[in-house]
Amino acid sequence: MKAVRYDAIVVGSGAAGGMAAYKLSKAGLKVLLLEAGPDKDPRRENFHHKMPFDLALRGAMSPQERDRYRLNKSANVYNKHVMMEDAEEPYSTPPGKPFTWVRSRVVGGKTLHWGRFSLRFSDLDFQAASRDGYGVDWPIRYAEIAPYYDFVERLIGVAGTREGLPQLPDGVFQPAVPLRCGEHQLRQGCEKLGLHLIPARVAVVTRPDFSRPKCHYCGYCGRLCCTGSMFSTRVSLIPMAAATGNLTLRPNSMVRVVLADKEGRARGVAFVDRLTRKEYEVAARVVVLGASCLESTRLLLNSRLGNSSGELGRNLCEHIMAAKISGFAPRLAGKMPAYAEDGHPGAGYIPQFQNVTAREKDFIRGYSFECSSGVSDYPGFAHGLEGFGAAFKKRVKELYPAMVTMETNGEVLARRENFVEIDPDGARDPYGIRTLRIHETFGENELRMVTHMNEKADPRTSVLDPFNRCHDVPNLLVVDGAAFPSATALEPTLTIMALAARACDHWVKQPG
Amino acid sequence: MRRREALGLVALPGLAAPAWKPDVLSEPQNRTVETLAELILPRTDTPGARDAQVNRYIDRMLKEGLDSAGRQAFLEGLAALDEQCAKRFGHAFVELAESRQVALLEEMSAARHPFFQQMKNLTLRGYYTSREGLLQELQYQGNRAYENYPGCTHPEHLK
Repeated sequence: MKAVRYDAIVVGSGAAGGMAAYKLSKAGLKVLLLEAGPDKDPRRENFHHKMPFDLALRGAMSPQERDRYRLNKSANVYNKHVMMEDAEEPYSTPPGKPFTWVRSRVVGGKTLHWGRFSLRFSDLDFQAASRDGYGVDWPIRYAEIAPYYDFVERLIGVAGTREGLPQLPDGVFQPAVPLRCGEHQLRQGCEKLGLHLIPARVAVVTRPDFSRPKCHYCGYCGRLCCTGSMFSTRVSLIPMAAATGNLTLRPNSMVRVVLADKEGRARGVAFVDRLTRKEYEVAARVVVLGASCLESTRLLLNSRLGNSSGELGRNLCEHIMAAKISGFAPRLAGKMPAYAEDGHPGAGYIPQFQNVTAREKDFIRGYSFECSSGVSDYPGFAHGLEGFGAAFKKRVKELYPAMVTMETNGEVLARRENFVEIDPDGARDPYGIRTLRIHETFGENELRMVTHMNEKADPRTSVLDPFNRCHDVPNLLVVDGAAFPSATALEPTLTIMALAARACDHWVKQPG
Repeated sequence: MRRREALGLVALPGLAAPAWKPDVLSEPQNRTVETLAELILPRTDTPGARDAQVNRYIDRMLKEGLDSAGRQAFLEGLAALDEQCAKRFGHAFVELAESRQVALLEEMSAARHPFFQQMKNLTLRGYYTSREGLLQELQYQGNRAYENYPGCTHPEHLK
């Protein structure tokens, strides 16, 4: 490696690390961004515009391929080249408690194929514990983070509408994408129930005069965006950081430990090159971890740092996507849309409506629905219809444009008995780095994990301070979902970026 | 066949591709699969499973797409179907009158017979991912680009 003196080392290049790298390089620091995975440009390496009949096995993975991604259930033929194979980074779970961990190891991380939902948390979330007595409040209030939400939305581009809802603060929006017929049908039903169905707030460019091209609504964003209209750090923050001349991006760099000096300050990191297996050490004034909730925790545990409180790895909880409800809008049966509907970058959203003003008797916190409709490249619902023959075929065709779906988003409450630890049996990954054992009693719950360093002011009960600094190691920042004191029922990515930006600003002003 | 398609070649008389042969299914099994698929998704005013060569898709899936348990279940189910037909009617499934074939499938469908379910699932998958099923039958028109997303344009849907 070049003998450059770095001011900052950022570990991980997804939402958290990408934002830290952007903020610090903009502030004039020389930044080394270490990403464990390879570099793949989603604008070039995607299979978006292939029809199923153009793909081997019509787009299904072979049994051998499926075996390689048994734990990483979101992997499919369109995204598997940016998803991580199970064997690349094993982890263990106690008997009978399986845990699904969606992982990408690539420049940009999960932002290459994320759901794009960009929602602000409100004080209902930050002060949830004060309201219902469960868990801990966040150490910040909406007014403190609001300017950072503004900043992130301006930078990445978020389409949405201003609605004036207390549980979902408005932001700086680009024009929302019009709803389809199906979402309008759902919206009418919602209105009868007194609920709001609003256009989804998604990180996709819809304005012609932005730093990235406007969306052309070509197909499924999750199959990787060929225009770069969908936000990923790979097409946005990382190139912007590189343009400052202060960023060095090093892909295929698997960080082993954070190195500390005698005074207990971070002095740098040790990493292994995934391809050559060569070991390196690199020094900097500050180390920023944004490797994902569980990977950053693993790194600290393996470094034996930051755990004087004993809280590190505790209170594992998730933002989950649980039940999916589907049905047919009778008015839409047999009415094919005049255009290709499936390129909608994010459809409808029903914000939390429980425990907003009135209190629910039976449960605390809340849930929301992501709503979707319209024709797709496969009528999966047909497998659930009874019968066969000409009448069956006709029915499939009629219902094809009428499908509407609602998917719940909920919160798994933080509990001490849900935790991660370094595998007590000494298991190691292919690079010789010790792996995690994950204890969670919610089994199959997928998706983004947040919370487990419990950001709080009191160093006896938390790992991080309110500016994401490690209480024990003042020049070590953790800026990903690991910092969240509770998961909330909202998609975490926008808040991860806002908090990462805020933590880096604070560090630049008051280096620890 | 595949390579010819990829090269955009048109079959000319005297230059015909070698006849397709199943890799996993026997010829009689292939005929049964073809018949079953066409009963599940028949040709109507639009193409059916036979037009979409769903039997070829199923043979390919048996070869490369299903795990060994899935493949075994399918082949055993196919054999059991003919055995049952021989016992009850003295003929293999393909030799029965269509009305009898349909009645048999109705029985299996009502009972959620595992082989019927597997055969139906494979047929749906093969048909609706084919050109005939996706483009001609369903009129799917993906892979377009738009300056502005049209959204719902029906005033009656807003009421």
